Amino acid sequence: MEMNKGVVCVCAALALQVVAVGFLVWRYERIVQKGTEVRIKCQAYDPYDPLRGRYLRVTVSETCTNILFEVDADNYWKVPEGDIYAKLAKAPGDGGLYRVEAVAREPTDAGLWVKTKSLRLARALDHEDKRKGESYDEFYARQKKSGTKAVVSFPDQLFINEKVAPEAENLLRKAIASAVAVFRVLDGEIVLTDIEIGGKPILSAVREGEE
Amino acid sequence: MKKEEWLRGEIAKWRSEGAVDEATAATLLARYPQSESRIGWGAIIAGSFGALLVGLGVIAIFAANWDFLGRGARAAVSVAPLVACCGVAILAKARGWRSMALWEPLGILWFVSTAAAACLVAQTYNVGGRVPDLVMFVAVLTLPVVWTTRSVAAMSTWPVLALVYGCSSAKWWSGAVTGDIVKALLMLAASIPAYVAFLRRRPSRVALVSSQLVTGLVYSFGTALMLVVCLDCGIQAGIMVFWGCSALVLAIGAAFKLPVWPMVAVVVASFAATPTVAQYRSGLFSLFVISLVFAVATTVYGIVKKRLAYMNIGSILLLYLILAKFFMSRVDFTVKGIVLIVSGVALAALNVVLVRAKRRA
Repeated sequence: MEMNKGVVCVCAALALQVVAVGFLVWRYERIVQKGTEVRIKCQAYDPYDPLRGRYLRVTVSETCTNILFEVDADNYWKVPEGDIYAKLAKAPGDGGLYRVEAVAREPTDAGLWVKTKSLRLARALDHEDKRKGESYDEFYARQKKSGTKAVVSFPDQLFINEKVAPEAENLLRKAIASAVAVFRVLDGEIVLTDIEIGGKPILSAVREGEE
Repeated sequence: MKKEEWLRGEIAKWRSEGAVDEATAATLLARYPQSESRIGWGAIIAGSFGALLVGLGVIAIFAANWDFLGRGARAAVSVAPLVACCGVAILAKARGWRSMALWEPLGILWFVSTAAAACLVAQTYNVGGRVPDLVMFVAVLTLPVVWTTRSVAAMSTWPVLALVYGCSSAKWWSGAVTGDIVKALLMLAASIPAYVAFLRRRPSRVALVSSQLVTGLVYSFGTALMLVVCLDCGIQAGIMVFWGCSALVLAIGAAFKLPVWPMVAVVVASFAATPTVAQYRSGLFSLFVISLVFAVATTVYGIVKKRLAYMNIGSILLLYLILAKFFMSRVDFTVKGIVLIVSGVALAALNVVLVRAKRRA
């Protein structure tokens, strides 16, 4: 009886583990297979993390001033709790690249909405926008009137082979202007699938470089 | 030969010589039950280390050749070691194999395989999620491993996941940390049934002591560290948190007769008392006085109960507290040197006296 109980416990543990890992695979495979392909301009580097292994850290930092939720004028930096969605749309005359068109607490129309990884709210004018000869008081008054901008980010880690990571980073550094992050989007979920340099997947570009 | 093996041999001899009858022999045998494993702890450690190396080696091979596999193959390869471990566990349960020489390495390999499977699948789909989410996912998946195998290494590592979850998920800057702390403490509580089950199996002395050492340290020091990180409290509150956690572990250890836990708790409390000597914070003086009282009490307890470890912990803390304050003063270094020598001699003499007293007793 005790033996059977033990076998049942191990079988239950195995079932739980396989179902959980299987669910993870199903959840993301579905997005990769059926999702809409989205390309967004990016920067990337290899952070050389001994814990996570080699991966390329993608920086996709999209800015948008079309914020569809209430922002407290005095506490403009306060991000609301819960998920924040970004509406992606192809930017005209940008080679089919997508840009963030709006951010909201939930999708407001039938466009391509995705959950953001993070959101930062800031004044629309940065310190770089301070005019020459303009006093700080004048600049802060102008900055306050400029409104709020949302800086959103998406999944930003592309895990790649240990051997090719340094070369990939090298290539990206040289051709940063043509680096594009390729995502798949389905039902509000977004998955990073590749990085392209000059229209070529990063691994192909590295292998071509080696040859 | 182990004591219990020798005793079993002797009881068998007495029975054959007619010195004891069958019922008495059975009563004696029941009084000294056989420990669960006859294989030495050295073999178990070697096996466990081997299992760990195998697990890490498999991960390294997968990682180096990841690109040559498709997504489906990657998923299958990720889950394969986990399924293999479960297969061995089912076989072992079905055959009634209970040796720790099997379950300890299997527990480690299964634990590593489970964590690796989750991480490899996450890497395949570039799920660059939050660290607490990954830790929680791995913790939930590995908990059955801890409960099923009762491996000391797996059992001791699992609560660390709960602490890492607590530390990484707490948004201390937002002030809303209660929920995160409660979740981490609930996770920590989930590790207790496995430890209770482990204790009920009457493990060997080495397993018992090493498990108490690690779990005592995790429950006292780890929990306190997590709370201090989550609450982002100052030095005085931090010391109080460490003392509180140590007191709890000490009380539970004393109540449930886990002799190593109180000792670990006293060490952790002593460690937490060390910053109280700082002079630049006046609020620390009351804690310094409490530390002095604690050190004296621990020393006296060690002397009265003839427990060398407690006496040494208490006297070392006492010496540290007094000497640290003394060395911060402007007294001449010759005097400081003499005081150091006297302290060292006093500590050695105290040990010699106590050892002699123990021998006489």
